[in-house]
Amino acid sequence: MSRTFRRWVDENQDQAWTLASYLLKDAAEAEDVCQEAFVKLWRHRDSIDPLKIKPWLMKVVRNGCLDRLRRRRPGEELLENTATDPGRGPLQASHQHELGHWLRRAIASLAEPYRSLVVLRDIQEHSYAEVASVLELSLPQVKTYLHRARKQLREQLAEVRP
Amino acid sequence: MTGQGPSKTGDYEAAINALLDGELDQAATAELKACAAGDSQLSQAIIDAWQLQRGLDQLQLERAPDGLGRRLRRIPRQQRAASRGPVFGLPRQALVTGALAMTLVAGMIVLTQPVIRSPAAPQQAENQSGTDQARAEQARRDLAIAFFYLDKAGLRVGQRINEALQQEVAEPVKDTLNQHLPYIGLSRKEKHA
Repeated sequence: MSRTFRRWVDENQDQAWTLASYLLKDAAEAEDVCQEAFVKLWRHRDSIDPLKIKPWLMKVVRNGCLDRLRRRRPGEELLENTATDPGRGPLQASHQHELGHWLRRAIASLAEPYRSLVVLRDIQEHSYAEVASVLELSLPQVKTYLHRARKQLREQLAEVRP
Repeated sequence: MTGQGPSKTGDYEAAINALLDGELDQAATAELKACAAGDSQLSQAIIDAWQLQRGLDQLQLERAPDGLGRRLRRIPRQQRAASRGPVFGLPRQALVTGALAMTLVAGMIVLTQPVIRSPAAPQQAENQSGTDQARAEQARRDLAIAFFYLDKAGLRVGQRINEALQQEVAEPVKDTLNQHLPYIGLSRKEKHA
């Protein structure tokens, strides 16, 4: 079983880490949430369908992140939400690296569930059905919310367009 | 607004997203292009959407830190050690060993007690001395066997203590010292900052 668990770790640790770090914006907390999620995976390993490990794990990671975000003081989250600097947009950035950096901050400024939607669908490229399962939303809700999230990002992009 | 009537950007929002997801068929794509040709706001929205999608495509999965990977791989061993119960596992063995030792000590005390005989029955005492010797011999043999089992139990307890020290104490203490003592190294949070 340890070997199977190691395989699950190898296959899912990057996705769990990416989701947690986008949601929490704090590396140490993201590591803790990932560890807690994998401990839960170990404890429930016999009752989880092996084909659904990934969505199960993403759901646990996201719930862990949301719990931590709720415990944070309002000021902390507000500070994070203003992280996108409109004065220095992606179109001023000459390098693709900076575009990526700007987008990362723009995604981090989205509210939930939009942030999770963009990370799960557009970065991790999960199917709509998997995203719906992780976020416990219907398929039409996933599509509607994702459209709104992308529209918000587009509007941020438009604001910094020269 | 384009100056050619109200923009249809809102109407085509679903189509733009379907285009980004690669789910828009050729006919619908052609229709969208035709509309965009006469609506600068819609065409700008499509350009923005493409630009956004290109940027999102560049965002790769972030690689989990090596330290996290190591922590995650240690979970099965740590959970197994925790479920064995470090608090109750060792004392239970120690209690069994202690109970055995107490029984042996009590037995030894009883055997080494002087026999008090009645002065009125010296003959009876002489007859009994042979029986007592046989009993003492038997008790010595029992004692040797008991000591053998006691040694065996002691060895097992020693092994369990070594195992527990290796798995539960040695590694966490090493990690904590390395990661959190200010003069040895930076904490995880400081490293990431």
